[in-house]
Amino acid sequence: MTTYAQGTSLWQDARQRLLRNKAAVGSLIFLLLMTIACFLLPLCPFIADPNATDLQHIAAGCSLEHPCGTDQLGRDLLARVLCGGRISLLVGLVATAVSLVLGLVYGLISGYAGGRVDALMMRAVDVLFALPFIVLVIVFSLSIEEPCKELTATVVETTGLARESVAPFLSLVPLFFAIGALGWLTLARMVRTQTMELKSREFVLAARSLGLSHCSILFRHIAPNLLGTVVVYTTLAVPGIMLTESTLSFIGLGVRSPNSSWGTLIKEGADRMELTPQLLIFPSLFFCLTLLALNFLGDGLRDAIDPKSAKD
Amino acid sequence: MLSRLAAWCVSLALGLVVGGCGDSRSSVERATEQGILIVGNGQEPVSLDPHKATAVADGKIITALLEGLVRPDPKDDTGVLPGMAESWERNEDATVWTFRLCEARWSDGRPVTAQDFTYAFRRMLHPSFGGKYAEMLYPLKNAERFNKGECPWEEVGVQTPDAHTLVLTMGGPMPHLLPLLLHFTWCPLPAHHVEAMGGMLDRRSLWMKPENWVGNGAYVLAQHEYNNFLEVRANPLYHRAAQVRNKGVRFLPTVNGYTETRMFFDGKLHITNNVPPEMAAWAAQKAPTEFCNDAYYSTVFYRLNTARPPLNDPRVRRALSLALDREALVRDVVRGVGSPSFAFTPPVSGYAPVVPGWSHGTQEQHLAEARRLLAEAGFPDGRGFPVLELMTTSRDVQRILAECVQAMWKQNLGINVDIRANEWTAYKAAQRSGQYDISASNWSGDYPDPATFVELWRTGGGNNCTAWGDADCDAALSAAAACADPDERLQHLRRAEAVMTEAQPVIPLYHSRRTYLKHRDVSGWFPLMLDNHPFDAIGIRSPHHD
Amino acid sequence: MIKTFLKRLFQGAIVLVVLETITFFLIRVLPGNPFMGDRKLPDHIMEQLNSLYGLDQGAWVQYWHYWQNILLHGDFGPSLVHEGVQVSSIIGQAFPVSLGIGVLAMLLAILLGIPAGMLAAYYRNRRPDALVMLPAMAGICIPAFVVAPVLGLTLGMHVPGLSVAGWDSPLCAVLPALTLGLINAAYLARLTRGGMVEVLGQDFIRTARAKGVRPLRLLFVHALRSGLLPAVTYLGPAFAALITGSFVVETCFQVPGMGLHFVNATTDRDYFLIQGLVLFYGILIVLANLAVDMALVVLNPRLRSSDAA
Repeated sequence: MTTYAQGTSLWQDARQRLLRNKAAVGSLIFLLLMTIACFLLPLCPFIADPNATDLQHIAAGCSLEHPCGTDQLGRDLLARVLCGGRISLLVGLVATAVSLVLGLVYGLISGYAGGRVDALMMRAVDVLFALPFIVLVIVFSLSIEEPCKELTATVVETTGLARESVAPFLSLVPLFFAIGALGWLTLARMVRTQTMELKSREFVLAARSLGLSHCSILFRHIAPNLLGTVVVYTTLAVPGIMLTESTLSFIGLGVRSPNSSWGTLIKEGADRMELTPQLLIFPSLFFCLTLLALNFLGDGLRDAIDPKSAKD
Repeated sequence: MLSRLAAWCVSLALGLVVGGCGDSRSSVERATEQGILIVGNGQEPVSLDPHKATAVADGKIITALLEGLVRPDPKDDTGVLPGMAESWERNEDATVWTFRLCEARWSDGRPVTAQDFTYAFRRMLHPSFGGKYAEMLYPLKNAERFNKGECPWEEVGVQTPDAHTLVLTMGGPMPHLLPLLLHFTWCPLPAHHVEAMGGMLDRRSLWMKPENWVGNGAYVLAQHEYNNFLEVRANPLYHRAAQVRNKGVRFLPTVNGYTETRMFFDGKLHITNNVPPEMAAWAAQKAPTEFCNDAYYSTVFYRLNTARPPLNDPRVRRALSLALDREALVRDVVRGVGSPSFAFTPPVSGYAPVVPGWSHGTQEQHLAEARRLLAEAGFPDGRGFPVLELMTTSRDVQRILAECVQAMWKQNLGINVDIRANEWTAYKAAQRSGQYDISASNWSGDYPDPATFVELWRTGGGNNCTAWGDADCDAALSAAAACADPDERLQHLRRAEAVMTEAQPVIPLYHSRRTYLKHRDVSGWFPLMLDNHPFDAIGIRSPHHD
Repeated sequence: MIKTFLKRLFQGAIVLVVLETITFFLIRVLPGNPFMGDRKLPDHIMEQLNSLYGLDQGAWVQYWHYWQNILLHGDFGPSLVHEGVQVSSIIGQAFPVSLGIGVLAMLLAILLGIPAGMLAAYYRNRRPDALVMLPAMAGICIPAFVVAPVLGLTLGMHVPGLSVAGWDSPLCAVLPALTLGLINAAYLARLTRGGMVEVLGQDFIRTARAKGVRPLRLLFVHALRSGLLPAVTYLGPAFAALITGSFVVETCFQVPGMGLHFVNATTDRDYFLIQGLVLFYGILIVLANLAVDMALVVLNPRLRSSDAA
């Protein structure tokens, strides 16, 4: 989220406009419920252990005991989807935030500075764009393997938490770095293009002639106008990042078996779609509904905070 | 490239216009009409030069293109039929084999001579060529020394008294030599042609490209589009050309078993390479007469790194092995596409499975024994047992199997293992350098003889990778290698395997089976343990010609 | 303009050199080597192979030879795994396939995505907006590895002429192109809508609308230029990525394109092939981004001022 100070009245306006937007409010409630469900429900006794196999009931259909059926090892699908949601939501949030901040700042500076600085920064983006992603990821996962193990050990030691509950989340740390390192490239290019357009606009020229510092022009006057781009990019990037996670867990980075994420569940379901369609349908449903809600909320936020719509 | 693109665009446009109203028959129907067999080959071949090839997919194609001294029996892969050699004899201790070659010609019309065999063997073993599968020829006397540059070629046990006689001198008794000769590494090469295309040691030689191909097999290489298909056509100069039952074979590099199975039902393939376990029941129900489930000379097992504690304790290894319910694994996870076993070497004629004494009894007894052993090793109820890492490849079946094993160990012994999925080369590298705790592995035999499995466990062997070794095992293996009597030789191998399974440096899980689909019009295809089908014996019955 | 263009080309060359250098050293850090195979090769054979391909020399020597071969002989080296095949011939066989599919997919994406995004922006927060954006969001959320088999099992199995997978008739390009086209159309629709919404809120559009300019004219003449900025920025790299193939789509449809090589070459450690592919892709990225930047200047003259700097 970009922060900029224009007095509290704008924020109050924004909140009011947001609350008037039914789709956005509904989405916000849905997302909150989903988060609560994913993080708290698996702790309840009536939800099965997501990793408990039951070879007597493989790929079973929906029943009272297993509301979404079971998977190919007889594990409760609902529990797996909920636990997978924890990982996917976390990845979506953290990795997106990392790439958002990087992309925004990089693009702003590049577009605003122009000239040689811009050329240098954009050619660096070109290099990163063309670097083979898998190679980077493999090198990365190998180099970070040991530190990550140490981190897990330290956390288990200091907090006294059970290893099984900590390890799935800590194994995501390299993933955040990997996605964060490359996920921001498209956004940086988009932000740069728009910054270049904005900086020749009248209000920036005015701010400059008033003697404002570059920093304040960039972050107070140009950045707020990029909100639309950022929102749109986020709704595009989050599903991409959550799915990238699933491809990466197949080469040992990201979520470790037997834990799941929405991406890995959908991938497993897609391979068996003619045999056990429920393995594809339920994870996809959770995934798509969450992203749809995120999309509506993003649009609502954008409409609410947009400085131009304040004139309405 | 531009012209290809232009041609492609034009044909696409035409295709779109003509669309389905042109030829509405499926690929298989059209191929059947032409007498061409379409076969799923699992992957893109690495090379068609028998001295650079190693993959199973390469072997299947090379077998169609080149014929060795003997050729495979379409009904039984422990038997051999005369190939380039019309007859052979051996001396009493099976150290010298004499082959009499038949009158055969290369596809360019030149005769096949004994010198073509020596040329091929020399090229494969040449120290400055780097033949990848050179080890397959090591049974020849001094072959290994020549390969390592320690002796001249003249000392290697290959002689050609005349153009149609080949005498092979072995390093030791080789009563089981004949099935070994089926392997593509023993094929001859057209010496005159390889020489003309750049010479014996020219690694960049293009003699095996479709436009340059010269071979002596039932087929000649017709067309190869990288990652798309490879087609071989019947060789009119083949010495048994009249007996070839089809006009050609098209191999597709079908990597994804799910896609391949769907393609079969869409009429794209006569024979598929692999139906994934989870699709097996569905495919069997959908096409009961076309679904095949054959035994395969291969074992799925877990390597244990015996250099790392606590896996250096045989009691721990035995406990880990006993705690796995193989019946359940095979029934529910692999879906019956395998036979559960405590033995490493799959059964083959004359060699019954070797299982350790402690593996008899019921699953309950196994569990009780496993818990007892673990407690004895200092980890009662799994307390204090370190978290081991179970390394797998990213293949789907492997991963699910690992998840099930992980759950069983946790449930039955109270120990935790982490699963680490590695991409293929990183997995291999970690395994070969001993950078793992437990590694999900499999091994397929190159020839129908238990030695191809048991030899793995020689101390310091290249594919051992478990850091385990035992003098008794090595002694038994050496005794087997020096033994001329076939039955006695198998006894030595059994002894070696018994030592190995007792120590349990690996946990055998099951012997694999192959599940695939075979079109109802295909005839002459029999279940073979090594999957080494001679394609010339396979017929395609066109429904229109009945 | 021409001077900028030449300058950019020169920068592009530097980008490629940096790219190749990083890749060269990065892939040699990966565990394993190109000669792993199913069975372990004896050490002396491994040494023979390494010296045959010059892999036993120092990294810098190898690096120098690599450039020497490219610049002096136009030789991108052999494939180390598929021996006897040149990297250039692998790319030469696979690129036309991916290019064909990619161009078809791109056309579909542009023809479908951009008008849809404009429509949604014009009727923002009203029914047509939802009607367009819901399927678009679905297209963004549903991954290719789901879309591809679904299309294969529905259209491929039942429409005559189309097939589940395989590459034996020109019609086989339809489903892969459709899969990629639909997904990219969804992205383009979302980006176009975002860009247009931004523009339609600006003063000059309000003025035009107040003056009674007709909606179509308003959209196409007044708003489109700035509204397309995000979509066009996305299009450049997306186009480069599309015509170099998609691993998922090529695996699902058994298509012999470039996408397979990017992944297989890496997992096989086929050093020269990886470098060749990266260089090829790098050239496309550089050209695509150059084209985009030129197009942006044409679309929006305000961007020109900084261009001269």
